[in-house]
Amino acid sequence: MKNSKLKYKLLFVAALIFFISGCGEMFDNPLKDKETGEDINLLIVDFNFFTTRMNFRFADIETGNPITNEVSISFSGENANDIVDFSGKKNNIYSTSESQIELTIDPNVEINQSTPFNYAVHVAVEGYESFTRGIQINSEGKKTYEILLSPESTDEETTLTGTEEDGSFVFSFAPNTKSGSLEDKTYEIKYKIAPDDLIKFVDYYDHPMFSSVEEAMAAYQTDPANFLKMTITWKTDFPMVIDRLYENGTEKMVLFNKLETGEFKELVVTGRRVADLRGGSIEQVAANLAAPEPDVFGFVKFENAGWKVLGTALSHQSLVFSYTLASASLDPLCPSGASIRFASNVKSSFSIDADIFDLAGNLIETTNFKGTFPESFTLENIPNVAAKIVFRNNNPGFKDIAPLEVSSLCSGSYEVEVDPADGFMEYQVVLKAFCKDNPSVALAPTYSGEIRIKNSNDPWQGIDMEGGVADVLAKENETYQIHFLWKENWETTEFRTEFDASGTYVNPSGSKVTSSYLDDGRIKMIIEHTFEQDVCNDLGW
Amino acid sequence: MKKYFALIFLLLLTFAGIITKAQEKQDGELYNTSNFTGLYLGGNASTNGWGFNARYAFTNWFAVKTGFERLTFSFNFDFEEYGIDYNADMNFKTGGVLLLADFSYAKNLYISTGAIFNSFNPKMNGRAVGDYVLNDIVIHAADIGEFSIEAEPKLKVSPYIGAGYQAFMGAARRLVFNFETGLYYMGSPDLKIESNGLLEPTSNPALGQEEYLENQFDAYKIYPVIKLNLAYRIF
Repeated sequence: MKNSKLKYKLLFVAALIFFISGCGEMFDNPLKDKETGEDINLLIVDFNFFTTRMNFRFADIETGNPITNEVSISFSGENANDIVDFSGKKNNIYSTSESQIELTIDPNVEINQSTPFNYAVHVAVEGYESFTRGIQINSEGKKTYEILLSPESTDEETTLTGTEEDGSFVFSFAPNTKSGSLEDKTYEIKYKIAPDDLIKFVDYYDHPMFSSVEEAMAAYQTDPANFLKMTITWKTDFPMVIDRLYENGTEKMVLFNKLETGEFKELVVTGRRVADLRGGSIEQVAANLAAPEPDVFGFVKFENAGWKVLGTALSHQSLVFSYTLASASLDPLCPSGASIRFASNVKSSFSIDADIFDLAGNLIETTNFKGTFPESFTLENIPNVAAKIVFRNNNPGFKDIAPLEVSSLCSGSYEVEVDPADGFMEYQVVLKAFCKDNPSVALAPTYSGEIRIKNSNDPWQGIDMEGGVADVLAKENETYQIHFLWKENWETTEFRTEFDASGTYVNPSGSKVTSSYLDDGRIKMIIEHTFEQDVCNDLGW
Repeated sequence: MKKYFALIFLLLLTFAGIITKAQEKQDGELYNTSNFTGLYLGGNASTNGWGFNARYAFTNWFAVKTGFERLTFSFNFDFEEYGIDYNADMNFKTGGVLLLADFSYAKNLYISTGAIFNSFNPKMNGRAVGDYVLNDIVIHAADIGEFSIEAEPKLKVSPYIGAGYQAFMGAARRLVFNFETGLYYMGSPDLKIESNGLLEPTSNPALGQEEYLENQFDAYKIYPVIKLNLAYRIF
């Protein structure tokens, strides 16, 4: 009996020791990370309160290459003040040297067809002509704007010699466009100088060019070919865009075609350079040569958030002038147009660039479709025309996508099947980003990112991340770079698509990466990345 | 620090063991000659809640008991996190149905073991109550979202071990007072997180935050019990 009691007591003491040893860790602070001893992150937050993201990409209109000079971008118009960066800051000017910038909209601003979001974007880059465009957004979502900038170096310079017509000296200018054939002269610009104005012009020494009309006419008769020489720089062949037009007191989104931009350089009269018009004027008159005649044709000037039509005749009282000649179609645009659904047999996010051409081959709009298969997009502010949507096939993760022909951009539903490129596997990438001075909060952003094989010249594969999660296509056993644009700088990290048989990540990188198999057989990689930039400071954390 | 707490707890138990041994000699004869068998009904207050219990002593050395305990309390509190004002309700619930056996190894001392069908379930529901001023814009509280964090024991049926002191009172020794300390082994807590709005990723399984926090809190496998009980022998 005594032995039995002793056994029970020993058993009791053993059980107590077992429990007590198990209790030890209870006195650890659970709010300190077990491995690092640092504060744990309790919450993971997202930017998902921003429901509209606008990605502006800047490319050279001649080469299509991204512009890596510093780009300054500003906004005007009704909703310009509602545009913010992802830290909620409203700036007068946003800058980037990364060829793109992603901005967003104050989430308190309602956007729908009855209350569209109206603004104009202004872009300035050294070495390129300044760019302006009116934009209207009719729905929330992801918007991409490719802004094609014209290099100043490609401006053409022409010296015109004037002839006398109906008592005035006239300089005619009708540049060839595109093919250069005579049939492609779609307009003509004439410069007129009346003799009464000409005698007011003065040279560098402030001496009038002529003392009287008779003296001027006599000089012209003496050497008509060298009497007047006007030099202008000009540029043509701009793509059509959807833009805002103020016409007859109304504001509307139209299919807008900038025909020519130009700038006066110099006027030489009988070998003397004109320094000042001194009350005289130079008339500039544009005439349409194209048929059918466009709904709107004339000189335009960008004011506030759109183009104001100035008419077909301008009178310049200064030698410093530039001009923009444009045409536009007043056919109403569809605020909400055709629906295009992208589907695939793989789980992946995608970013697909496309150019929309009318049946005559004119570029109507450049757009980007960014989402996760399957996802539908509704075109907005689009003309009611048949069109061909040509996908750029610049995403290496996908096989080439055939052009999509639509009978009307304004209606219908279309499906685009996207196949993965050979050798690409499906993965899920999860990003938990930490602030370097505050590890207790992590960011899992709804944001745009890009991946590509490290040290390769492949195009970047755009990915769409929601709440830190992105389904991606990537090649096996490759090291990938993944980057996100925060303000002016890329935040970059790496991962490698190499795993052991159990799906465990086997290669270290600059960030902490763990992996595991998902139920659907894919491998999920959780990338814990510490921001190099002061993201938390920007967010006020 | 944890080692010191563990050591102190072990010393207390050792001290209890020494007292037990001393009392065993003094009371042994009396306990052997008195009869404490029968059905006891009583009420108790413990760290696992208020409750009632029924205990049947088959012999002076062995009894089984069952009971029900429940503890719920809730409080509302405000806190601020990353510039956002939150309000939260903490609802703490514990208790359960007990099924235990007592082994009295002295008149006044016993060990108790068995299981509890436990209802341990603390839950915190929170919501943003203040707007989030994010530099030049304001994110309204309704858009920031809500969250809830709930903990449940991994073992719904939790083993229990405890040690107690009992004192029989009254002329007929029908009234008994118990003081008992013990431990439930609940297993590491299962956390359930729900969130939306700004905090949505916190509950997204892809980010594994539940698993991460469960790992951080997995040492909390044991629920400590200190119990006072007063019972009366019916027959």
